[in-house]
Amino acid sequence: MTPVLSVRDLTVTYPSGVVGCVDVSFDILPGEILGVVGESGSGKTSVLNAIALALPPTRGDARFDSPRLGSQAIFALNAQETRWLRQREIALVHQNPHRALNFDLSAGANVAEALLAADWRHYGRIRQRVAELFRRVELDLTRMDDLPGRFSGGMQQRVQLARALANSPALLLLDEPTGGLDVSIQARLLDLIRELSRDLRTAMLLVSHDLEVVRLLARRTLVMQQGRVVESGLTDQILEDPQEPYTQLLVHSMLT
Amino acid sequence: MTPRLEVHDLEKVFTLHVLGGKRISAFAGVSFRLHPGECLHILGPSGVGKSSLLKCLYRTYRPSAGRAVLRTEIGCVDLVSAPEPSILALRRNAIGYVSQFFAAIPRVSALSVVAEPLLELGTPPPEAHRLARAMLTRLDIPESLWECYPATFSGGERQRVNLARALVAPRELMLLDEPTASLDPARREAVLGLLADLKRSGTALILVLHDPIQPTLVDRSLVLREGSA
Amino acid sequence: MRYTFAFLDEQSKRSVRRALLKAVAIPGYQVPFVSRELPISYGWGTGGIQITCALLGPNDIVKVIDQGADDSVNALNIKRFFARTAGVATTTLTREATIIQTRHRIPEERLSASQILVLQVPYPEPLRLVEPRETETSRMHAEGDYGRMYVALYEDIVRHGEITLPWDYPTRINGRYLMSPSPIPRFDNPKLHLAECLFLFGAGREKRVYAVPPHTPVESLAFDDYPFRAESFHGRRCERCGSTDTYLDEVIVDASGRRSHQCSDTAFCLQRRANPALSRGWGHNRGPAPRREGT
Repeated sequence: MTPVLSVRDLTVTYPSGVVGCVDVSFDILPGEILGVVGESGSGKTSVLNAIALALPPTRGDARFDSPRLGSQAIFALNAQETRWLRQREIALVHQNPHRALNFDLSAGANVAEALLAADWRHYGRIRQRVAELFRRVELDLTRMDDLPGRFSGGMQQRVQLARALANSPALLLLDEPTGGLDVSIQARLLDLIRELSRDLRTAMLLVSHDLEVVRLLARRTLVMQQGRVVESGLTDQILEDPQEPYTQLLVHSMLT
Repeated sequence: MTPRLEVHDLEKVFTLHVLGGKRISAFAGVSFRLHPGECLHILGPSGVGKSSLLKCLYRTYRPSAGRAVLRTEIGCVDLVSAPEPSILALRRNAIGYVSQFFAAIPRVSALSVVAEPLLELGTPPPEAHRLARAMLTRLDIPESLWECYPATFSGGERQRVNLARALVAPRELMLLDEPTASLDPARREAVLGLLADLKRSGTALILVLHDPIQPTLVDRSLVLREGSA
Repeated sequence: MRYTFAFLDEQSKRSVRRALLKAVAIPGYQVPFVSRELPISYGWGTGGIQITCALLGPNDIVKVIDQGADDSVNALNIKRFFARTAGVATTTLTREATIIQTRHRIPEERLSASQILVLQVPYPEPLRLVEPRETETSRMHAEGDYGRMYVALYEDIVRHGEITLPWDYPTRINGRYLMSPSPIPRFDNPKLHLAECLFLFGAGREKRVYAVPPHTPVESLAFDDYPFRAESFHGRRCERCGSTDTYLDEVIVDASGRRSHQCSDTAFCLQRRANPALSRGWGHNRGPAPRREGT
């Protein structure tokens, strides 16, 4: 099976000299959720941002294979091509909805923005698709025209999800999607993500500091420390039989 | 008949870096052959590594040495060295695992829990739910509980949901670690009956069971002793 | 006091004309220019005035209107400024003018290939409504990434059932750049499309000029199922000339608060009173003026 994303030797060094990540390699297979776990400073966010095409890597290649576009080397694209990918094929759900949503626009408008960026120009059909997405993420349709500020944190994340899924991207990137949410809300959101993964077969990269989140969603996981991948394997194996010293430390401290 | 599973000198040693690299041997030198429709019973004192053996075959644990070659319809795979995507595919299609520790996914109904393995195989939802309902009925989970969350169930009920999930899709190899642990005798019988059906349909079973051996179910035994088989 | 011809020195005028040439070469694209000091503050038409000054020659005839009227204080002041500093003839007849400077309206009468309309623009950036950062709006123009403008229109329909933007209605020029047509009512937008005259836009405070050359396709943004529509005056007519196809101002006529509607383009209204058959000839009403009963 051709991976949806194939990353080799990804290295991100910031202009300040700070190293984000070094020599990171991994594949994401169609329909799978790959977890990336690490503490802050581990490099997981740099990896995510590089794949989201939000920052240019210092070194490395990434081959992206989508049903619509075929195979592309995504770090070698020009600004227009990059924007095309970001708007239609690789969608990012931010940790903080305030960074991602426009709080001056209705929730529906936030989702519509993704469609309009993809050249949808029929208001009725846009409304229909927004409603469909709202239903998909279990948001109340009657709130479609409300401002996001009137939504709870969990609902704001659902709006983000709806927008991310609007153009049926081949790859969904989730950055601590449940960070800052109450435990019960977290659980609901994680359930939703599981369902979406199963129903839509969208490949996902899930970044989290929380092993519980990764356990629930990801079948395979990378463990990162100080910019490098320290261990990778089946999630249940990482959690129950960690091989590397750092992984053992992480697992023992997190799961007690 | 060609064996379904051939295990050669399988060994598991844990290296605990948090304890300065201390090595703990779970088991060593395990070899056996298992044919379709056969049930292998793993015996031994508590803590000797029976569960670890099953987990190694499921790849929840990384075996330290040895081979475990599984013959499926598609071909032969060494479970010890196969890449993760292959293992994940095998877990979807070919190998099942039941343990007494059921990690409940919160907020998923019992019916959905049991239907999930079928949905992952691409079974259409109506059919998947029908089979799930049949399996739940077979394991005596009342209809009133089908839409409830297993986290709220009794130990025995949770165990039976766990079993239903593991057994609902056809498997070539089933790994069962104390499948009847929390069950009363009547339900225990029902489960053993289910396992007998599995055998008849060609599934190979590896069973860790504290209860007295069922002669009709178990074909062979493997005894694990401290340090080796 | 003697001024340089049309107030600005020749170098300044040349630099404005260079910017204008660039603007004409890239329809709808905002060209930066160095705004000169004028005896008038920013916000009062300095952009338009600098363009007109740069273009004026001794044989030009200038018309200046504000909100459609020749006789508003601002229009009169600006017209007098041109007359004084350039000695050019001025007129209120649209047909006679070679250069027309305007704020907030495009004249009702169709302009010809030998005429230039100079529009005063307060906020040249159409995307400012949806994006405050200049770096980002630059990128959006460069990449033709205008989805967010449509989001504003979407929200408008959600809130009001239709697109209600009354003026400064965003337009797509030659299928490429998004442009603010200046605060003209949307009624006037269709006049920009495939016109024979040259449209020049000047924003003095923001220091930008842009242009719509003759015969350029100009499309007002809309959705497939919510096409662009001009304002309707619901069958009302001008009290003075009886027109039903011009942009009407609502005017409170007397102390009792009685309202009447009158053509915003006062010069055109005068002409129509004299000649009811006078056609507008452009916009959504290309062709002869409709016959009106009883006139």
